[in-house]
Amino acid sequence: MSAVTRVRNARVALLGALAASAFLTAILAFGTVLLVVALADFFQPLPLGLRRVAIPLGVLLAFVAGSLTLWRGRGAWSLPRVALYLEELLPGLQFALVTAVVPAGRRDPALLERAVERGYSAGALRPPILRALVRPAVGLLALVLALVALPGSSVTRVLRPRPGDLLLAPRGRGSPLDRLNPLVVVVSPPAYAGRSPATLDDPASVRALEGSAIVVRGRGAAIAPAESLGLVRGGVVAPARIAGDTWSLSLVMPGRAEVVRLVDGGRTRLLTLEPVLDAPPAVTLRSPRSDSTLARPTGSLLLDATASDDIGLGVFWIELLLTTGGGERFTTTTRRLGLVSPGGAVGAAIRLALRLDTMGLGPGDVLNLRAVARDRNDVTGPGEGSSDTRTIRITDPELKDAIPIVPASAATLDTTVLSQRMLIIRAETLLVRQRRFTPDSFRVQSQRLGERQRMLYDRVQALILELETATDVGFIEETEESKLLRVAGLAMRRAEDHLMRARVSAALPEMYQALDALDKGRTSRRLYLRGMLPRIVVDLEQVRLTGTEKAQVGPRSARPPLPDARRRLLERLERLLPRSGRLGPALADSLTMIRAEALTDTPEAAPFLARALEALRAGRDPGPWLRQSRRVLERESESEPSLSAWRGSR
Amino acid sequence: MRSPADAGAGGRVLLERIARGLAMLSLLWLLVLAFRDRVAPGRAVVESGELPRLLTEWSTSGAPAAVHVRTVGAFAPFARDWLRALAGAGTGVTWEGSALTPTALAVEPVADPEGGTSGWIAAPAEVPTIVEDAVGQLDSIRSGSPGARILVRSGPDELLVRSGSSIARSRVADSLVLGRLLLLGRAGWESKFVAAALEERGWKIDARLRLSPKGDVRQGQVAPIDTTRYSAVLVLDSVGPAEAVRVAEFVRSGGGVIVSGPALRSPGLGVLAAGSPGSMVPGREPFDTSAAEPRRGLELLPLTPRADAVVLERRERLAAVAARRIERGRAVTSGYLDTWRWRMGGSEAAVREHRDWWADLVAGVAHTVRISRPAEGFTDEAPVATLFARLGPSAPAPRSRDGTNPVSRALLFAALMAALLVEWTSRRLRGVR
Amino acid sequence: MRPFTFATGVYASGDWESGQLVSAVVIDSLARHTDLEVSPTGINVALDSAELFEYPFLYLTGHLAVRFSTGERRNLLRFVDRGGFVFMDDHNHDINGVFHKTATEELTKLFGRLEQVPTRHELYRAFFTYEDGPPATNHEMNGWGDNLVHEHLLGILRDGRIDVLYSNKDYSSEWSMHPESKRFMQVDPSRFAVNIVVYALTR
Repeated sequence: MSAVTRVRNARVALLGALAASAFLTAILAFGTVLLVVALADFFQPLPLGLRRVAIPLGVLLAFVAGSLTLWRGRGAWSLPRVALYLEELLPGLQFALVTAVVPAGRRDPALLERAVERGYSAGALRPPILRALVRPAVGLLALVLALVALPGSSVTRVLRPRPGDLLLAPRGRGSPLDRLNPLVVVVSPPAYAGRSPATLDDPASVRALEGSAIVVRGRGAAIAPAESLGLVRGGVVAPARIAGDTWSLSLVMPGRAEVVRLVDGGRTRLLTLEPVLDAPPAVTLRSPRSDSTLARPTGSLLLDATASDDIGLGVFWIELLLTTGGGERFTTTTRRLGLVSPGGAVGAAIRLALRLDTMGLGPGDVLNLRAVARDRNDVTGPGEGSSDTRTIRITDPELKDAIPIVPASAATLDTTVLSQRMLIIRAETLLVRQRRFTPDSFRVQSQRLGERQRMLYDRVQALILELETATDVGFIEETEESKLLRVAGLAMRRAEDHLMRARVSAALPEMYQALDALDKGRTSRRLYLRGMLPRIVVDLEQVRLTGTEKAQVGPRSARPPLPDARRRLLERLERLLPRSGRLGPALADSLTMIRAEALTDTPEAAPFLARALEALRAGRDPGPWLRQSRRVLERESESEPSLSAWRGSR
Repeated sequence: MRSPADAGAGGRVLLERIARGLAMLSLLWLLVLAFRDRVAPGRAVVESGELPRLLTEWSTSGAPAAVHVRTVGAFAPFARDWLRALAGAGTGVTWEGSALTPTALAVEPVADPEGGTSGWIAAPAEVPTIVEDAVGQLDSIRSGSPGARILVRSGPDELLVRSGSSIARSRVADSLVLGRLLLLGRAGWESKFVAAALEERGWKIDARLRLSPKGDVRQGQVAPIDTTRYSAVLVLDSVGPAEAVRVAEFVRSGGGVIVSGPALRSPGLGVLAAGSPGSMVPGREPFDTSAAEPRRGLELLPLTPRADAVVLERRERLAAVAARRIERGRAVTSGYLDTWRWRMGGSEAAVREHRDWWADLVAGVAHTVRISRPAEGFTDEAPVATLFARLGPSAPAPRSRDGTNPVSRALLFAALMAALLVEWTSRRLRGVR
Repeated sequence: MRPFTFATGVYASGDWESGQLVSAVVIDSLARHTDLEVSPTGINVALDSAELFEYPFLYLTGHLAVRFSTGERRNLLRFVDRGGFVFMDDHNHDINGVFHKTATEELTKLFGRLEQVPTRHELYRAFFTYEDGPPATNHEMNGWGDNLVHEHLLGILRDGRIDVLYSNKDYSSEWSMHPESKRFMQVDPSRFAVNIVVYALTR
């Protein structure tokens, strides 16, 4: 065998050993990460997120360790380097091997071969190869032994971390018999919500959709008799179900926040149930935009509606009520138009045209249109939401003085009149107090009024638009009312202009004029309706006390005092506050109960109470959060900077 | 041979020696004075911050013959009382202070089924004043003249006021037993909503509401009107002469009465009213929903207050609500008409505000039975006044015992420096270091 | 002091004005039997206006569908919450009719379930005594509507106190007459209105 061949063989052996060593080192690195995480988890259960990182981290470290090993042994690829290495191991070669392998200068091959033959020993590589393999192998063996020594649950929690594996965590040193810690809660929303179940590890409270199925699981059922394990709710104790070492309790999320008690002999643990209520759908009828009265039922009416829901829509339609008749006899038919089944989508729309001439409408008939949507809640519902109603009337020529009315905008006009009056009062007040202001701040105040005047102007313009082009059916010409509103609008614009220039005294006459025109517009619509309005004035003096029937006036019964949930909670909180620094964990149960009540009665205080509970459980002072809660609950004190001669109750 | 310089040197040297001697004497004298101050037999001059430590020491290891305390701001009450005790045991105690903020606080329960605590505060107007209860800060106010008042609806048992360096503390000493209210009026919105507000508040009401010759609407027994049953009577409309007499008698014996609205024009009730009604003043239209002045939208019979009446509320310059004492009782007169419009048409908080307003009027007149509560905790209602009462007035530190008037320390120091300067200058001019 | 004013509610969706004579008849009864200060005419007030709160007694009636707008609902809720009293009467006297179905639906959505007002309720002794509960009307059995005698009134009750009173008995028809017509009657047909108003004014 030539020297080169020997060196090649040696190289193969070394490369093989390197690969094996790198592999073993990688495995060792991976295993070490797992072992460290499993050990840490053994002493203090680690959160799921951290455990999920263990395997990727182990793979990464394994890759790095293996790569490093290969890198360090990269010399084994080179023949000369291998030959040099052999020379080190076999000094008797006296560099004959290297000389044979490295082509350089004049050499005597035969002489070299003989020298190599004399000095070479194939077994020289055995010890270093063994060393390279044995070290990681021993490490690996130790690792395996350590992993075997750990409880299998710890290893499982690292190898297959998943929600709910908290019950596999090693028991804490202090309380092996505490079957109420830890807990795992599995929440399954109602089927209609189409959501997956969620698992919570050791929660203090459970927040879920009303009607969700809740399963509370714990372990240690085998430690002691399970009869003492149960759930107390509303005074009733429900026993736990046992399966091996695991116990479970089932309940349903109520419609109101509640605290339930888990009991095991003398131990108690509270669990707050926080329902998320399924809101009914929000529905808007975009067209028609307002009520209207038609002389003739011709043309088509655009119906445009949208609906949205927090969970999912079940069905959505436009409801049409057609009432015919008169006097005391009316007949109503109900139809559903454009019915859609969104199949759980959170939004839907309907758009269709209603042919009025095909509906057989007659004089005096009334159409009521609204959009209605229902969600898929089959637990407490379905929740139903509806839009505002639009009323379309067909005029009856037999009725006197039938004039189109748009009652909805009548109300808007009323509000506009009130707002204009308020604005005038503020402008007058500003003028009276002008001397108290600097010129700049007076201008700012005046401009604010100008902006309000502008808003009113916009509202009036919208009213004019409604009156003159109100429906999709036909164009209604300028009316008496819209003319008056136009006058009011012009006056408002002039007033706004003055106000923006801080000329309040010049603005006021314009504002009065606007109010006058608005009032006239309002009055003008009070004079008409369908038919004549009788106005009967009762002659009170003539009639007074002429009734002869006997009466026996009954007594009045008292009105009970108003329950004040806020006050009740505040009193309970104030009893706890002075002791918050001292009681520590014992405070947690009382706070849990108060927070559950607050969730329903005074939700603005609930977040602060939650933070107080978190602080308490983390060993911090809950005082600042409790004081915040109190500030939210209590009414502000009332102070006066003077002492009256009247001392109240003395 | 002696040089001319040497010839004059003798005098200069003598001058220098004299100056040096003078400097040494001044220094010595200053030292003696310092020792005297420090070690004046039996007198300690301390700062108030040192008192907690020193008081214990003095009480256990023996107190000096006299103590003078300097303080900026008021002492802690325990230190004040301890010093008083030391003074009683024979130690002469004097003190001098600066930045003392005179403050006083008195608290009382409110005659209201929902409770509440009223506090009356005296403090300097320019000093911000913080009001607290056992849990934390309630409000910060600036007293007007002569003081301030605070109403805490949650009804804490104890209030504390910090004003400058002073802390005043007071506790509610009594519980109140409330009687019933008697409502006299006509069936109508005002009586309905006033009754509703007060019953929602927790008051128990008897009522007689005129309705018809066929009968009146009644609630409870309109029994003899006396303070064993009723805390107050509310008259919302005119009453007959006999009834007016009974109500007046009730008030004179300690009861309370509120006369409101149309009842102001009732002849029999004039003797109880705190003012006579004028012509009706309309309210602001539309009804003012602004929270700041909700009652501006109400019609008002402005009052001309009696001489002995206190005006509780004004609208612009018109007296709207006034109160007066009538022998042992109290009467409030309100000129507002149809306050129910405020409850129905006011802002979001109008229902609660209307209820509060009526409850406060009733609390101001209600006859109550007081029951003392066991004393708990610690009060210090007028810390500065108590300091003066216990330890006498503030005075500067007394002089040392032998009565000599020592040379002013400043003069001595000036003399010392002058002597040193002279001595040094003279040597330098002589060319001697 | 403001007198009692009989207010009829104006709502957008139906024929709110169908009982326009009722106000005069009720005012007439109040004057006949009591000393109450009463306004001699009624008033119509829009449900979604600020004016509504000046009239804590509200009468609603109609034959057609009742579908309150957002503003009307908001105001009604606030009105009742603050102490206002609503008296609503089905002018059709028809429990299968559109007014009853839609009005009760609206009231239930706003205030909760409508309950039967017990026969022994204070309302029936507030002025005149009605031992058997609400008095029947001539219209209940007139061949129109559902042709039933409705034994109970319905209501929204809080702690036994009526905030909203609902009737199927068609008092609106019974009381739709000129007050002068009463001189031909032995018994005032609208006496029960006195109970309703007195109850609203004093409870």
